[in-house]
Amino acid sequence: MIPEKGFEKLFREHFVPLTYYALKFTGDQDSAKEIVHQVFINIWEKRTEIDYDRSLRSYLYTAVHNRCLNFLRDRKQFDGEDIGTLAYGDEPADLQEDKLEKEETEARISKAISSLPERCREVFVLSRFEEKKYAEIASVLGISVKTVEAQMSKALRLLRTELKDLISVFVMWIILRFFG
Amino acid sequence: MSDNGKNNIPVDLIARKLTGEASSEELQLLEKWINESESNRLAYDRYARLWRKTADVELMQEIDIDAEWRQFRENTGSVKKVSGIYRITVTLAAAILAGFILGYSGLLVYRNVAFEKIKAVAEVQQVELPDGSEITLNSGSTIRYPRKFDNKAREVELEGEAFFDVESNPDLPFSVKAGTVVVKVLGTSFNVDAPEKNKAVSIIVEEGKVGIYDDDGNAFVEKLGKGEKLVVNTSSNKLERSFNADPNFDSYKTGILVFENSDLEEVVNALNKTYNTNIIIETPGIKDKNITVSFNNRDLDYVIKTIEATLDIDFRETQKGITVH
Repeated sequence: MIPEKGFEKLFREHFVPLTYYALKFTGDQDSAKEIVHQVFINIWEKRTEIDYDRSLRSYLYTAVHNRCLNFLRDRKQFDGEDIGTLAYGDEPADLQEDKLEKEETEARISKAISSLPERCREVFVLSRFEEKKYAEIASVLGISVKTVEAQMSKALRLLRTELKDLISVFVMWIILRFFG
Repeated sequence: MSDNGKNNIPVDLIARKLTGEASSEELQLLEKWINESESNRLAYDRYARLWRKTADVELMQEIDIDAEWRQFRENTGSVKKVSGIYRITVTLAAAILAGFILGYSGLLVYRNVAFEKIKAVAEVQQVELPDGSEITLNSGSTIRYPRKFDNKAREVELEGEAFFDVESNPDLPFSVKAGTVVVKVLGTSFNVDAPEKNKAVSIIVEEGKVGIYDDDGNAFVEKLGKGEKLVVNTSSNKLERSFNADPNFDSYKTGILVFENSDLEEVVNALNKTYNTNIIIETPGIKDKNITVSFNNRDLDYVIKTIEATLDIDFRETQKGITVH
């Protein structure tokens, strides 16, 4: 049984990471969001039968995973595309804890990037993912190289603050190495 | 261990190093700074780590979680509001939800270099082809067509049901491939219903003429005229040719349902097609009940309530789905 208040928490906590996970299959965010909404509606309807515990997270990912495979299968039927080479197995997965952690971490990073101020995000994305040089970015966006540089630094600072806990794991390691 | 002196961290320089913009001079400068203190090294390592962590990340557009939650509430809220017919409300909720989500793009459009593929996920969709022809795509149906028609032919593929209003062009034959059945036209409007593979494909011509062929180019019927209907059984290749008697064949497009002395079975079939539902008549004795009524763009709830009141029957949610008693 999932209490109604618990449901909102569940939704808010997992909607973005699940959408991120689905996006890896669907390749477009609208379809990914649709799939995640379907999963939540399905759970909402069955909320009296489902236990609200840790296994629910794994259940959510498995449900999204399976719906994504169906989505691809439907698309394949139409396109004759080969989805056999997908990185994910064909069978409904019982997703492992460490895989879930990895997905959630990536989703957080992705969310942090998408939440950057617009110009800042544009500069960061062009540099990081399209591997463009500052000068190219400047000409694409019609701004000066100086501005590109400033926005890039700002992006790094903001991400560093937002993702502090993710990168501080490294600090722990350093401490152990030097003082442990 | 602290890096409180944040303002002293040369983030510009670190960024240049990470992005490969730094000159060898700048690299030396950074190296020197890193070696100055353990806290400098730590600060640099954090940025370097951040940089590595962002490497394989899939990019998302920003998601407004409040809006998504409101949307979820709206939809599950409408499940609660409409009482009595649970299954119907669930179906409607799903449709509204999908409609809302699709509101961003209107449709699911699969991008591909040469082809556009559109699926009307939960709602009937209007699609305009590159030549100006208009397609009304029934919900759950998919259409695939080239972004640009070549100069020989206009070919589209359909899965499901659609109404075609084809722009006339005698030099560029227009054809619809639905599974193994190909409908060829010059300029006309017609409806193709190809529900599942290896079943019946049904073609109804509203205006003009069409020819119907198999996918090897052999004619089933060379000319099917205005008002005519052809059903091709794709497993046996049997043909049924008739004049269309169903005024509701394109209800999903027009939003108008007309029943004239129609029995309940006809009504339920039309509702199932128009609203994408699966209503079953449970009590055999009521199948022959007649109704004369028309609906103009009404939702399913309204239609059902009207029919219930008129025929003194009951639509109920059961384990099987919506049943009529």
